[in-house]
Amino acid sequence: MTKQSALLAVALTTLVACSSGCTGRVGAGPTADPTAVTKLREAIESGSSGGGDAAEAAASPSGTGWGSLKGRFVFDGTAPELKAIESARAVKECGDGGHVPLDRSLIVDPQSKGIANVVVYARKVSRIKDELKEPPKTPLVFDQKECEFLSPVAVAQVNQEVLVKNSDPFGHNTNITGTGYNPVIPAGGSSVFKPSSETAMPVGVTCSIHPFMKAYMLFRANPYSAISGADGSFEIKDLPAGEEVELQVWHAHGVGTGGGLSLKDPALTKAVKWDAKGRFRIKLGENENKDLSTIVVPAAALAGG
Amino acid sequence: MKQRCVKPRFWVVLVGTLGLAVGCGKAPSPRFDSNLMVMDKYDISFEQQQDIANALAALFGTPDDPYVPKESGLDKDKIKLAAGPTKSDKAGVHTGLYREHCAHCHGISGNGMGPTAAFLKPYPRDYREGWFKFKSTERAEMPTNADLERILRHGIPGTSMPAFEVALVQPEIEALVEYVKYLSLRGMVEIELARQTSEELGEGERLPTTAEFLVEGVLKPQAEKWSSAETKLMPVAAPPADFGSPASIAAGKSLFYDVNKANCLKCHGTTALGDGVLNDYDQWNKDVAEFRTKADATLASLTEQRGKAEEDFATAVEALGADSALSEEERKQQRETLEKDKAATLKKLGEKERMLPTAMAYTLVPRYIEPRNLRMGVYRGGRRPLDVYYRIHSGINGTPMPAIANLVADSELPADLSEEEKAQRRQSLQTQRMWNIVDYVLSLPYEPGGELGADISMLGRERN
Repeated sequence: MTKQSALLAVALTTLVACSSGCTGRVGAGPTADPTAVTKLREAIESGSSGGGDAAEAAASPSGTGWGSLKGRFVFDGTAPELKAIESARAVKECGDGGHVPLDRSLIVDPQSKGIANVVVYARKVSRIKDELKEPPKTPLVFDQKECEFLSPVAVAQVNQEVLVKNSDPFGHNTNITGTGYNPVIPAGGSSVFKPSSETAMPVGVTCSIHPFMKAYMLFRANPYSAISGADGSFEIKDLPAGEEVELQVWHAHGVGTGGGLSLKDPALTKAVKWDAKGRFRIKLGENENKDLSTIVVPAAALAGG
Repeated sequence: MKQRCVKPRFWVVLVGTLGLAVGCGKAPSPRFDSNLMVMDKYDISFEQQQDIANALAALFGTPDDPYVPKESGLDKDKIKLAAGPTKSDKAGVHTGLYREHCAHCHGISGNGMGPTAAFLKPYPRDYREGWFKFKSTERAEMPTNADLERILRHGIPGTSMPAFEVALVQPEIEALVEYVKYLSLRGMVEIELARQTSEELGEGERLPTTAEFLVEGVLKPQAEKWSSAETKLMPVAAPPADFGSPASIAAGKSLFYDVNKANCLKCHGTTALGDGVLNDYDQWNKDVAEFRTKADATLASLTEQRGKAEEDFATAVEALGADSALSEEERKQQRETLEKDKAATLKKLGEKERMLPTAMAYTLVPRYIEPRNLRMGVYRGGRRPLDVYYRIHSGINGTPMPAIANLVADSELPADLSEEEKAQRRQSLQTQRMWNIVDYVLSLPYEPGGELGADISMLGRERN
């Protein structure tokens, strides 16, 4: 290769590299749209409502009286067996002479096929029955034994005390995600947590000493929530009637965003329209006892189901 | 031969010069990267991501041209000093401090993803969640200005965070503290916008574009966390009179190894070499590990999921045709709904396919957290007894280190005391014992031979 052609190659490479490579840089996510930004900035600076979407109006009561809602979550398929936690530490330390804790995040009753620990709760309500307005005086007991949280999921109301107990003869620590609560709880000891704000979805509860331990806690400002029992059934009483109430359905294995349980059973969508976030709206009549009866949950709606 | 060579060389040089002059203009200004991991966590569509990017740019501007809304509680002048490209003006005022001193590790966006990040251990802090470790405030609260300033001045021993005390003057340090808060607040607002999009809005609903929503509903509650930090200090009781004495160290030692009291040995090991729990993540790495596992699974099953969407659609359409109870109109409507649902599913899968590889490239390989080896005499949060007290009192935010908050059993309190007296007694005992543990922890590097076989072979460490 002559010196000239080498030089030419260098020059051409530079030209190509410069004209194609130096422009646009790959970044993560979309670039802001200048027109939209100018408009938003004006709104922010003037402090006015800026001519955009109307701010969400606070729900005002439009109905009267109360109604209840119940149903039963049933697994469509063979009930999965509870698996043992794989951890040398778990076997060695978690009980007298060794105990293997089980992963209880998905519990399906082999006979009834009922799915336990599905949480159903009202997202926003316009009114609350008088006797339910105050959070319960009795604390929610959240215990752990043999390296298992005894409640795979628990719901407390905002300002209701949660009594976190340790019924093991050795120490744990209980970390409630996002709350800053994470004390060491000695053998046989307890600690109190008082949630000050609600969470839209359940948050994880873990133990750093035994990282395989996992449960969930949900904090709600309103009293309208239920956790399905061993047979999969749940019931929420005294919901506002005569107006639409939006309910969220959640399970630890739900494949929807944040664990939402989304169902598109055609039979069910006739009664309620279920969205991809695991929510549905329902309007109860006064004193109605609405029964969604059997709610079939396909295995695909649950990760690892 | 020589004669003929002159002309081509001339052209070569000309083309090269032109190429340089035309093709390579100024490098584009850096931009803030989206928190794609959070966008994935909350299943934020591209359209919604655009809304969030617009809102963030309106509230915070760009790296070269930051905007500081007054509701943020931040000092605009300080931020201007720290932001933008690095340069000095004629008066010698130096600006662009963040890019000069911080961005190569912490990243332009404060995501802990600067060019050097992957080579450092521990990884540089990602400010965007608003989780800070070494501070004087209660566990989940933001650090105070003084906390951040101390880290900047003195660095973090045992990490790549250097001490800037010799390199920077006071106004420069203050400017950088303010800029870290700006980046953190921006990141917190971004997460909150994504969270609200997912959890508060209905399906298909767009983010409101009103000042009321952006400022009152999103910015202010996050800014308040920063501006209230000074009022969220951990209470610190004075150390007991015997602090530093062999008796206090011995008391701390027995609490340290007592599984029914402080239980420190569970993570820091029976040797205090930091070899107890070795398979846990801190919160940052845990989020990345969970994200990567999920993203891998999603990307691997895209074809299958697309096939399933088609299959489900076909089955539903068939069922619709067979349902004789439906009128023609109802059948048509339901078919349209099914088509819309299928299109939405396919669109979502297409977006995941485009976004996830980039999102993964913006994460670092997750690493397990190592409980501190307490025999090294290296204390990341500071080696003053007070610093160690803070760590014991509230634990370390974002890490598995819990608050050592229950050192007094009910049975240790005399039964004949009133509830109030009991609470007081419990509090004073608790405080005293925390200081005892501080004493023992600070004595560990000097403990000859080590307690419980600390001098045994490292191969003998407990692993799980």
